[in-house]
Amino acid sequence: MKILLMGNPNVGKSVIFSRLTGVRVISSNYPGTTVGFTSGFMKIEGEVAEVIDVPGAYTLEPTCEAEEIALRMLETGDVVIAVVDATNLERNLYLTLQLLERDVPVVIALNMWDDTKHRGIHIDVERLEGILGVPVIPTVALSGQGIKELVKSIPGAANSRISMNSRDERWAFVGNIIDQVQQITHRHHRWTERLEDASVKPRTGLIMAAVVLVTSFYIVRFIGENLITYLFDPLFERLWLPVLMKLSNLMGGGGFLHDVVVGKLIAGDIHFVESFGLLSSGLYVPFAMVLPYIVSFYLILGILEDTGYLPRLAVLLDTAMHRLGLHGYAIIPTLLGLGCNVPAVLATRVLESKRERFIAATLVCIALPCVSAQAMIFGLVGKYGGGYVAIVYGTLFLVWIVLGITLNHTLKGLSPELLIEIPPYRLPPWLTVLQKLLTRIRGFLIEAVPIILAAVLVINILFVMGIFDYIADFTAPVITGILGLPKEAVVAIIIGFLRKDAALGMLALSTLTVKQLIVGSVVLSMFFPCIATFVVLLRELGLKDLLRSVGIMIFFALIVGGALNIILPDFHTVR
Amino acid sequence: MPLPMVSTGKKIRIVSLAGGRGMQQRLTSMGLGPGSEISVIRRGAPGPFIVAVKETRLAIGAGMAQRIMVSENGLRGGVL
Repeated sequence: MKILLMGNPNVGKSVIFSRLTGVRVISSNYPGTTVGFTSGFMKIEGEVAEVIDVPGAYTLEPTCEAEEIALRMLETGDVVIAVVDATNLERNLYLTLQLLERDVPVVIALNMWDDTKHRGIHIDVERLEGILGVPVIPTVALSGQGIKELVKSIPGAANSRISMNSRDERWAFVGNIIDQVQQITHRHHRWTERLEDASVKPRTGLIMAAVVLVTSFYIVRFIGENLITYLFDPLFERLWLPVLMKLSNLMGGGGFLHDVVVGKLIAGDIHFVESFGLLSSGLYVPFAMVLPYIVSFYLILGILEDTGYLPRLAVLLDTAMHRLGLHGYAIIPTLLGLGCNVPAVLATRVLESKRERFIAATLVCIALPCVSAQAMIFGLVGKYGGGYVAIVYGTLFLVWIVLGITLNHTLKGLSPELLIEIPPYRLPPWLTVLQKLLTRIRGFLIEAVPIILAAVLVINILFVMGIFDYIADFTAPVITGILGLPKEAVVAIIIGFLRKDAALGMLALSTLTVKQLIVGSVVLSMFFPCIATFVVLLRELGLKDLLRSVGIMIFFALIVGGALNIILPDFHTVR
Repeated sequence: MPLPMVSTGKKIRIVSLAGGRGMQQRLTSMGLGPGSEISVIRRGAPGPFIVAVKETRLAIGAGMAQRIMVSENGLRGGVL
């Protein structure tokens, strides 16, 4: 049996879903689309049934991709649980009526039932059942109230005999039902409502936005860094390193096979970043460098999503971001890009159109140095003076704005006009937050780890075959001619594909002038992203757009690097 | 008059939608059809408008808001 959970966006569908299915769920994309949905299993009367959390829809006359998918999925279902926001019955009934007109048994979950009391809304459930001809169960998904009754009612799901001829007739019927079953008595403004309105007013809203964003960013970094320092690093250093060293000894401490599997020894030791072995860097990069940020980022994003704050931020920043061809929503990936480009690219998912996701992801990868790259820039360039660091940052900021405006003017299509529901603030449902987090972690591990391992293998083989020397000679006209860097710097750029911090560190190995350091830092930040970002870019954009994006990055990196090489004077500084 | 001309807090009624079928369908399904009673919470241009429809708040891009024709509530059934 296939049970579909359907309803408007923001009615608590996903919370009911996690109540029904527990933590083990599968998240997938509808074939050929970017619309994702989750499915899981539950038991009804001893039998296993599949439960699908269908994307939220306002109508079955599709107005967007998600609604088209919802309509197509509806045709495959055996039972529909129509989830309705009880505090918003009138608008929700429109979709409900459309569902009832279909030839499929329906049960209605009248969710957020507890909220109706605060709001002075009285709904006559029995009468509503009588009019619609299907079971109506009041639920509070957050606390779990009514969920058992909902499950019990599923076998009793009924086909309604309602049929409507037009949109107007449907709305008229909705009005009629509301008159019969709903009464609204006194209603006093709750403090959350005042907060809700204050958070979208231009002045108060921007202050609150700054507080929320800065706090989120610090929490993400705090959790991520601590996971690395106190959990993943010790695991690798204390448990895994001794095993690897033994293996290294067994394999003779060198040779091709040794270097591929364990990695090159650096001063007799395995270095988890620079050794580049399958079992050293190949595991350390995804597990100890990216995973901790995946965990912390998705935890915070999940909480922000489920409290209802993100739509408000989108409203506040909409105008400014439109100049760059983006929606207000794009501010989230942008800020996260300053921590790590991986979660930033993943966060472009909150944008609706492909065009916007492309612009946002490209801007993040080209203009936002991740935190490890920033640390290296401060270390390398900063020791000559803060002004030089400011040149690097100023250049990147300018690139962000100019490239955004350029992409907005050259790419076909317009940024879609904002039309979103602003949900009320709610406490995040922890079970849903946890469920989403686990699904996302699993997704990362399954998809990213094999590709990172494969890339480490390929880079090793290229190194051994001496292909990098060949490349250095081949690219010398560009690296030296245009950028004014020594020809070996190409190796740093190639290493930058693995890690930005290691690559910038390689710049320190050769003796460079301040000007060369500035050019090198800017070019390394702008050139194609590190492999982890590359993997998520491929996953989020697809191969064609990934290549376009990378083309833009290489082109702009060379133009900007070349321009800096010409414009900047030869700074004479003494170390 | 178009929605952007209304000041905040005033109750108004949607008279018609001056857009393509797709936009009309989208707005109607979200409860912003002709006849709906709404009020403006935040004035946009610059930025999106936020309106209250029943218990829901909706953010509407300024361009789209231009195409929503409204009248003040008292005119119910009168000359629109």
